[in-house]
Amino acid sequence: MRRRDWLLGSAAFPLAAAPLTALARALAATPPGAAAAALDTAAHPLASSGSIRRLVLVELSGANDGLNTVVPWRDDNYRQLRPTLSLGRKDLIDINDEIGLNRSLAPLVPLLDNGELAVLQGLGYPRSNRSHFASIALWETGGDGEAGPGREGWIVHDIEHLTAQRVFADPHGLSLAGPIGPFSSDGGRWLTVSSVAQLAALSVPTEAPQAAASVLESGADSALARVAARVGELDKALGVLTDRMERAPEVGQLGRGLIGKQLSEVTRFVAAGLDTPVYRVRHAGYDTHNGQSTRHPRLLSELATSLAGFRDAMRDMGEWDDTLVLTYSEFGRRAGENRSGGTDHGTAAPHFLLGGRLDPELATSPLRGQQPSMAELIDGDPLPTMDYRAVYDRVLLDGFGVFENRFSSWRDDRLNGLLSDGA
Amino acid sequence: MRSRSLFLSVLGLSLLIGKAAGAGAAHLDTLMTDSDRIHLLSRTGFGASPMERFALDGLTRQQGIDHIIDGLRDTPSLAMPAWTRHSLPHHHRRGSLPQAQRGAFDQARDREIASLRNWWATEMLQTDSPATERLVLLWHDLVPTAYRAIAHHSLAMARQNALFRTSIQGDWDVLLKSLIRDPALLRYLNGDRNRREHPNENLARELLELFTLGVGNYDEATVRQAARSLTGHGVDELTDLSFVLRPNQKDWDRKTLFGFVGNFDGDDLIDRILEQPAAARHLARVYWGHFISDRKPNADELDALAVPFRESGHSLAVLYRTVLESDAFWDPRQRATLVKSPVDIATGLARSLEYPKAHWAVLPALQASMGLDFFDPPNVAGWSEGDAWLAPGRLLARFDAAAVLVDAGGELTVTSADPVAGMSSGMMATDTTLGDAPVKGPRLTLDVASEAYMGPVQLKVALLDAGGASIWESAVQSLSKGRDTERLGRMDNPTDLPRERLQFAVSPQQFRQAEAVRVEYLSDAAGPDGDRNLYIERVRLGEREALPQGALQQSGCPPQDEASAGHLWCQGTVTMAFTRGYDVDVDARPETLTEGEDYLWSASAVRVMGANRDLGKDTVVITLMLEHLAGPEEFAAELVQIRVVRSADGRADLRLGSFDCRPSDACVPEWPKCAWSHPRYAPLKQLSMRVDERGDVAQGCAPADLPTVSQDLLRGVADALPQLLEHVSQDPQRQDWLAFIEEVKSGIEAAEQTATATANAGSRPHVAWRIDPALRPSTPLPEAVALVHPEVTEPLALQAAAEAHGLDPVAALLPGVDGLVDIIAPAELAINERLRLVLAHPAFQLH
Repeated sequence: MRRRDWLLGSAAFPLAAAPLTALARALAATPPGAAAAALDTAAHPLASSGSIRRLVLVELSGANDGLNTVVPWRDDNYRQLRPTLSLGRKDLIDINDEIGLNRSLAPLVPLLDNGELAVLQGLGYPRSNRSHFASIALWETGGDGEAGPGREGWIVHDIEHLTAQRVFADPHGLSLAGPIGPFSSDGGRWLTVSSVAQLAALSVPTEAPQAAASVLESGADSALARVAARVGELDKALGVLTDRMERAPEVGQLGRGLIGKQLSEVTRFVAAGLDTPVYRVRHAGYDTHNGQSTRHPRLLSELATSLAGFRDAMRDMGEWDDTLVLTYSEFGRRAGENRSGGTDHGTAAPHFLLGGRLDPELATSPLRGQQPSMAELIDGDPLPTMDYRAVYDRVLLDGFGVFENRFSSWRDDRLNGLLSDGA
Repeated sequence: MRSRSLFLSVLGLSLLIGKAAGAGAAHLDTLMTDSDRIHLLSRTGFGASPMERFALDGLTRQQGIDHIIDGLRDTPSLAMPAWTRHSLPHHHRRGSLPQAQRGAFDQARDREIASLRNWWATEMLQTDSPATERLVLLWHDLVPTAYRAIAHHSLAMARQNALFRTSIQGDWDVLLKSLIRDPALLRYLNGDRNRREHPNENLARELLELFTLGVGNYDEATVRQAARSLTGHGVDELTDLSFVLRPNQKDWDRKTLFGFVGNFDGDDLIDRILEQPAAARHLARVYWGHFISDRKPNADELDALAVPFRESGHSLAVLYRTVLESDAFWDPRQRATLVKSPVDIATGLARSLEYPKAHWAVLPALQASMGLDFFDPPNVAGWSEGDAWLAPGRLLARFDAAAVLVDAGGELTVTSADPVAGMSSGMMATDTTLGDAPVKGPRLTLDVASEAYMGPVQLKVALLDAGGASIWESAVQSLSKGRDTERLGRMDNPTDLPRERLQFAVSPQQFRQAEAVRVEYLSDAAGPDGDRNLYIERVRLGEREALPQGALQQSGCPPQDEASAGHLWCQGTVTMAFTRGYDVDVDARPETLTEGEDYLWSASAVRVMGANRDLGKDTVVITLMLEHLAGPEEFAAELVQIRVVRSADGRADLRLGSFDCRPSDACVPEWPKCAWSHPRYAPLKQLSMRVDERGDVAQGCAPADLPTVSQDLLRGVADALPQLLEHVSQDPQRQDWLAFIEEVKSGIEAAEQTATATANAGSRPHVAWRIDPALRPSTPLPEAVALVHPEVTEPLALQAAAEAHGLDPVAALLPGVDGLVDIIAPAELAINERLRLVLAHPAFQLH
């Protein structure tokens, strides 16, 4: 089916409209002060340093099958490697004469047409590790199979450096699900919370900050001092949060499933005027060793519906231009299918970058980088065509305005202009 | 400032305790101080209860270690929930159940795992060997399996837990060889899908990377060869949910492992792996990190554990003892270095303080909120330990959990006049009945869960007659055990909420007339920080049960899927009809396959489980499942699976294998020597019988060689085969197999007509069958197991207990470091004040 057809057909997609109404209702109930705070860019500590105010990381946990997400349907090798799982043109949203997107991503068609979605092809790293947790640790800390994982989350250092230049009390990062992952750090205010309500309900005991401060005053380097430092940071972050969360408006469910729920909570945080630069959400279930033909489309559909709902909500608040969404996953899946109706652990995979101020040329073609060759497989896996850290560099460089960042050495010209210059 | 100077000295821990104990075993002969005892108990168990500290009083370190090790158990002190000993659920039917009933089936399994969680939490609380539970939990973490990922196989999780119990003091290779056959782990890591034609590497990779060697000690080629060695492992779901080898899926060829070449299987793989010195070091490193220190061991320290372990033939008992006897374990510098796990925080606190709180019922949920949910580790690496427990969100949850458990502002009581004597005489009473005093006469029983918010859920219950008229109505009931969502937040899964039971006496007349029950939720409430909801779990009236799944909900916000119709998120009613169990065939009607009322064979259901054409042999195979089968000579089997094999030459055979019958000896009490058995896997046996001749020699057995029971069974099926095939062809869910069924059926009929015409062989004997869903025994939802509620005999202030035994209970909440508690919470302060100070202090997070 042509992309245009999907767009025309989207009226039949019952979920596309629902979240908007819910959000509109919610915003109507927002206290005037909160909306003003949310829109007051001048107050934002990162406002002048780059073109965006927040990055939302979407972990596709379990390793998304890139080949059935961004599909080289014309490639004979692809069809031969996947006798039962390969998708044909009729199953796809056309991108060009060779590549199509899985039709379960149909809710993202309006973003494709507006140039708000980039497909970053063939991402990977040297000496791919096929262990779930080892590889996600590499992605989340900016490591690779040769150097191993980094010491802290990939985004932590540069965000803390940026925020250190200003009086900035909001959490540096909020993880809505899963382990702390990309936010692992020795310090900073990187929180795991499941909801606004949870934040508002919890507090540290009255005596805790004093006890922590006493330990820290002694200056010893010990496990005890590490705990004390964390207690102190937490107390600071909570003070600000509690204040903000009292103003958080209600937001209806955006999209479907737990991913939709998490993105709804992100929307609430933003609507409450929280200036947190990084959020992390997590969509689980992608480890499709079996039953892929039913599981994978369902996952992509849930993801696309939720991302589209999130984009609509952010746009309605005037926040979409200041927001970037980036997906990531452990690795791609093996090019050939297995005998269990699924796919095993592989290497390279495409990922999505979404935002309100991406390169307008993306409306013509959302593809960036290069589709890995299906003809040259190493141990049954395609070779990555771009280091994933080139994307991190681009987000830090063009998104947060950090020219010299942890990933500058992976800078890749193919991503030039990907984030348009805030015109 | 006083507190500051004191902290300076606390942080120089060695100043308080002295230098590290000298080399050699001499330090083991020193008498333990109270902080030594707390250290030993807290690191090997959960917290340090007054009774345990008392028991170790006056012992040397060596004696203390012996005490811990001698106390290790291989069975739990509290029996596992009863469902773990019942017959297996009929997993094979799940896929063919209607959606609402499938939801009820799943809920029954979820309820089982929830009860297993509660059981384990209870065992951890009350056992006299917390060291056992810590080791079992360590293995659950080290070789994780997540219930949510293994499709409702609650029983497999229970059996894995039992496996760990019997293994913690055994040899590592024995445990690993059990684990590569463990149904739960096989499912979790796709080991049951690892086939010769196309190996699945998941189990092999994690075995090498996480369970035995660690990254860097094997290469990708080894992963592939290891996967090949593990092919063919399967799970026998029909008879026993135990391991079974599938010889046709096994790769019997040569493999290369670590430079050795051979026809290796899984056991060989384990042996080859453990020959690698890296293996012993890997597990020694795990034990070091779990029991000794967050600092990485240096080479000498690691060898001190790994070498004796390896030389003992990988005895886990030796490793454990070596760890506890090591200098490093007792070194004061290693104390207060390990971050407490959520179980150390919650269960450890409960054990250390030994006093009852209603909130103990939420103990597993509290631990889950801190990041550790029994039977659901986050991934194949298990839980992330150490500083990961201190991520800000979790740190908040830890503070909150401590506050919930202790509520230091409230009235503190202990469970008996003498906590030490009380413990030793079995202080706790087990309440497995979920609640209230029994009601005499016919009873209506409701099990519900709820979330409270600014007040409890209120509800009313009514019994309805066949016409829908109300024949009995309860007064308004307030639920008392709802989770306080304002304080504790919401939970993802209602199954994990604490349940409560309401019971009502009804008159015999109402009991007879009642056809349905209506539950009305009267008091909905919600706010930005909480929500009030009612979850109906089950309703029973005598033997009958009303299922909320698929029931009629009339409310402002009915759930979209009918399986959740018992979840009332808004004010409204749920109306449920009474049936006989969660997996009855609601729409099925009894059928007698031949005329007349008499019948020889009966079954609750006959289904087709599969049909396919084997192109290589040009045969069609249909798999029939006969449920609750009864026949002549008191034949009875819960499940029988028989394959009908029709070959191209028109011949049809019945096949009955060694994994086709539950109970496994019902169909073939003793396998005759003549039976076919797999040349490479003797346990896989099969009997065969020709349908058209009903008893010809097949695969080596003459009919007379077969046990009478087996002859009768195969003949009984053969005689009625066309009618049985006709019966299964009417199953609307199996229409895709209709063509195969028709082909086999008409083939058999045609062959019989020919036989009758030519050889005058006599007509098919009339063996009558009755298929009646009512023969399925009722299968009520499994009972939930409530947490132990400690019995309060005589309230007593902790302070008094401390004076009586010279034990300061507050000290057990802190790492085993001399003098620490005096600095953080001096004894002269009031007990509530001391608890507040300790729980807010960073040191409480460590041990």
